[in-house]
This record gives sequence, structure tokens and C-alpha cells, in this order.
Amino acid sequence: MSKITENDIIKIAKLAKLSIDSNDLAKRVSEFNDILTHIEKLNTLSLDSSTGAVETPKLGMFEDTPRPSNTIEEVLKNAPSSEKPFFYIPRVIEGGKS
Amino acid sequence: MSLLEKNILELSSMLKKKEISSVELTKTFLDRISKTNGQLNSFLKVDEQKAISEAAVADKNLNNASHPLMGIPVAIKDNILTKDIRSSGGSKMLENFVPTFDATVVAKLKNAGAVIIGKTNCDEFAMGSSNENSAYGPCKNPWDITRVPGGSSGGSAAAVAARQAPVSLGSDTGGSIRQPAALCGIVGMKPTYGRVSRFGVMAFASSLDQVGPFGKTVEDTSILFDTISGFDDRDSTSVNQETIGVSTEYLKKDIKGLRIGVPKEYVNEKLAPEIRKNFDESLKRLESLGAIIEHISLPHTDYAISCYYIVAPAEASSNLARYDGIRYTLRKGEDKGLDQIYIQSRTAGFGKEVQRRILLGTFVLSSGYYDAYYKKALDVRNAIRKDFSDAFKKVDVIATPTSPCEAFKIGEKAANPMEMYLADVFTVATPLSGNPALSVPCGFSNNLPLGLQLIGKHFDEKTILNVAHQFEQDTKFYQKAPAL
Repeated sequence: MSKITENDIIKIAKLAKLSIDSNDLAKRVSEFNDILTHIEKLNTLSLDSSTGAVETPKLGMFEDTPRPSNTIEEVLKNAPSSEKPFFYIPRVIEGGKS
Repeated sequence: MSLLEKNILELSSMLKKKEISSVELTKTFLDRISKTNGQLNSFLKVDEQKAISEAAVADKNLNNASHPLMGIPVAIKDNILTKDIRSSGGSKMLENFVPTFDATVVAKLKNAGAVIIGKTNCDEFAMGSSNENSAYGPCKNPWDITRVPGGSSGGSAAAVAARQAPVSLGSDTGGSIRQPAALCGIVGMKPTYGRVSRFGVMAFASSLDQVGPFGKTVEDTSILFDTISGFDDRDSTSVNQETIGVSTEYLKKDIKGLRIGVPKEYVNEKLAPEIRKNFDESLKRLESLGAIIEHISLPHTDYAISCYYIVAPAEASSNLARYDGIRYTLRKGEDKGLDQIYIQSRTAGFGKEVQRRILLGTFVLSSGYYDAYYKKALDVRNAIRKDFSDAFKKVDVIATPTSPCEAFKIGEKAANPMEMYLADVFTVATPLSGNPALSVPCGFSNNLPLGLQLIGKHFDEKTILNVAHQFEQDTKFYQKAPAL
């Protein structure tokens, strides 16, 4: 595999909704590549079709029965900003009156 | 013997005979926490009044038929939700998060009459092997406060080792119960995947996460395990299996003729000499108890760390997408629009290791890399699972060291993430395979405790607890406590 670059890390961070401090970028790239070098060990392994044939536990099917859940007050209790019964966020649709 | 040293059944007997009250017992442990937490930083939150009030209720309800945990204080890892007690998961992201409901495991403890004594320190969102990734400072090892207690459930392990609580709950995704149990000289078990509900537990890697017990002794661990296990239809991975039962009589059964497998991939020339010596002595003890030691192979062991560090971050990157700055977390960037709320809240709220794993997970799931990393890791995971399945056709239990080293110095591995990940080398395979595994104290190296890992068949926790109990009663390492 090719080495990850600073631009790659910036792109991955964007996908993950994170921002990387530019002073930290080189270190992050180096750590990332160290980890990738190790985990790429998997690519030295060739598995035939019988290797993974194993029974896995069977999960049960549950009745989908309605039951009481959190109240609106409870749901909003930990919100950083709210106006019952809504979470409060900045405007996301441009235009119109504010 | 001090109340702090007594086991659950002894304390329960005293409570039932009214020799002490739960309020007195709870105050004794609260006092111990207050005197030692400054050194250890094992508790992140203690609500004394709430604990005493729960103890007072237990005192009213106690009778001869009460559950053995009624009136007994229990410490809870901070990634497990406790109603009306701040649950941060060791993260700044949830610094002000006060749950409005209990995790199923906490509700089960409360139903049994246990007293929730406090919330314990942990690596942020359970990501770490040293407790140094907590946003609230590292927890210290009670045997040597310059060393780590292990992680991620370091606070829960340190609390029991330091006699701040009789028992505690942790969670284990790659070794986060067993490794700190080993490094703190106590018992800790990761149950079979599906055995214990994760409802109300902060999700890290959902195909691996499992809640489990810590205790000074195997018997305490067994009682706590039985109390928290059982089917829960609010966790879709919960398996409807009979629990092991509150009686611990089964622990007394001898282990004559039991076949214990030792995998050559774990015990070889790469093992540190002092760990090897201790492990060989432990095997001799097991043999002297009548067990038959057999050499086995788990051929894909060398790939377990790589597999784990693809699967776990991939799931973490998805699970941690819920921390968006909107509903119950820290919020930053309010005045810069919605997208900046996401980015700034997550960047400010998550620590370095959590960010590293989110980035790694996002990368291995991204277009162009998914097949090479994630899909390959799933294939290897199946191969690891088959290794265990094949091995358990030949043996009843598998034994390995729990950790490749004793407790290391705080800061020693912090600068090198890959070196820290390798601390999980003996514990990551069982979450991948779903098998239960525990760590039981097996001696000391440089005056620091070591752990013996016992791995069992799916849903056969009883056998590993039985072996661990017989070993513990023979060696009596559990009687030694840190001089704190």
C-alpha cells in the first residue's frame, strides 16, 4: 500500500468531521503510517474458503412492541441548546427572513 | 479483618445478621475513597448522599433471603450510564452529561439492592490500555502510583485493588477488563459476547464490546457476573441463555482431568523471561490440581492485533458519529453554522487517541480501501474464530498470560500508539471470537502483580471461573493487597 500523505489525512479528517491542527499534521501522518505498516501484515495472509467456515451465534428475533420511552423533557435535558420540544441549532437553509 | 478486606458473602452475612448496616458499610468505603482518591484518581464522580440514601433503602429491605449484593457498594465504569449521576465516559465531550436512565446492568444491580458508590476513571470512550487517555487525568496503579493501572477500565480495577469498593463493573472491547485486572492484581472477566446487555453502555465497537465484573476473588466476580447477565430485548445482540445462578457452590468442584490448552503462538521465545517463568509456574500449579496441560495451536494469533485495529476503529468511527454537538454533548462553533458545530465540537470534545481511531476507522471504511483493510479483517476474524472453535474440540480451557508485561510507567508508552496497541497482544483475540475470558492473579514480578488468562468455550464461563477459583485458593495471591 502507498504511504498516507498530509493531504490524505486532511481529506479523511474532513470526512470524519474533525479538524487537524497544522502543527500536528506531520506527527499524525507519521503515527498513521506506523499503524498502517503494522496492520498491513494481514495482506501477507492468504485465506482459503474453508478457513472462515465457522458457526456463528444465532440472534433471536424480538417482538416489536411499543413501550414508554424517554419524555421530551428527558431527551432535551442534556441538550446544549434547546427550545421545547426542539433542539436548537443555527439556520441551515439560506435565504428568507431570519 | 477490616471490612474493606471482606468478600461479598462475608459482608452480606454481616448485613443480614445486622452486625453492620449498609449505611455504615457504604460510609466505610466512601471514607476510603475520600482518603485515597487524591493519589489514585480512580473515581471521577462520587455522589455520597445518593449512595448513603440507596444504602438506607437497602437496610430497610434486607432480610435473610436478600440477594448477596443487597446493601453492597459497587463502583461503575464511567462509560456505563447511571441515572442522575454524571457519566462522561472519560471524555470532555460528555463533561456535563447526566443520564436520564440507567444502563440495564445498573438497573439489574439496583434491583438486587446494590449501592452505586461512584463512577470510575477510564480511557476516553474505553479506547486505551493504560487509562492515560482519560480527559480527567490518568488513574494510578495502587501497587505503585508511578505506574498505570492498565486500561481502559483502569479506575474500576484500581478501585477494587485499593479497597475503595468491594466489586466494580468494567467493559472489555480488546482486553479492557482483563489487562487492568492483571496489572492491579485482581480478578476480571469478559463474558461471552451476548451474555450481558450493553443497553445504556457507550458504544465503542459494537461487535466486540462486552460489560463484565471485577472482584478481589473469583467468588465475588461470579456473584457480580450472575447479577448483571441475562437476556435484554433492548440490546439486539443479547442472547437468551440461562444465567449461571447466584450460588457459587460450583466453584468448589475439583479440576482433575480437565484439559487446559497452551497455545504455542502465545507462549514462545518472544515472551519476556519473567512472564514466561511465572506462566510456567502457574501451569505447574494447575497440573498439581489435576488438570492436564496440552499444547495446542491458534494459527492466526499473529494477525489478531492487526485485525482488531481495523475492526474496532471502523466500528468506532461509525458509533462516535453520534457525538455531533447537537443533542447531548459539548457544543462549539455555535455562531459559525451547522457544519462548524460538528467539526469544532468533535475536535474540541475528543482527545487525541479517540481522534486517531476515528481517522483510522474512516480510512479503512473509505472507498478504495474497504476491501484491502476492512473486508480482509473480517475474513481474518472468521479464521481466528475458527481457531478457537477447533481448539475447543481438544481442550476445555485455554491458558495464556494476560499481559506481555507488568504495569508500565505512566508516560512510558504514551508517545508511541503502536507500542501501546501491542500491550493488548494476548487479549484482543477473544473479543474477535466472542469467547469468554478472565484474568486471575498469578504472582508478582518486581513486586507488581501478574495475571493468568483463562479462556473458555462460548457461554461456559462456569468452567473458567471454576478453574480460576481452584487456582486462586491454591495460590492465595488474592490475599496480598497494595500498601496504600
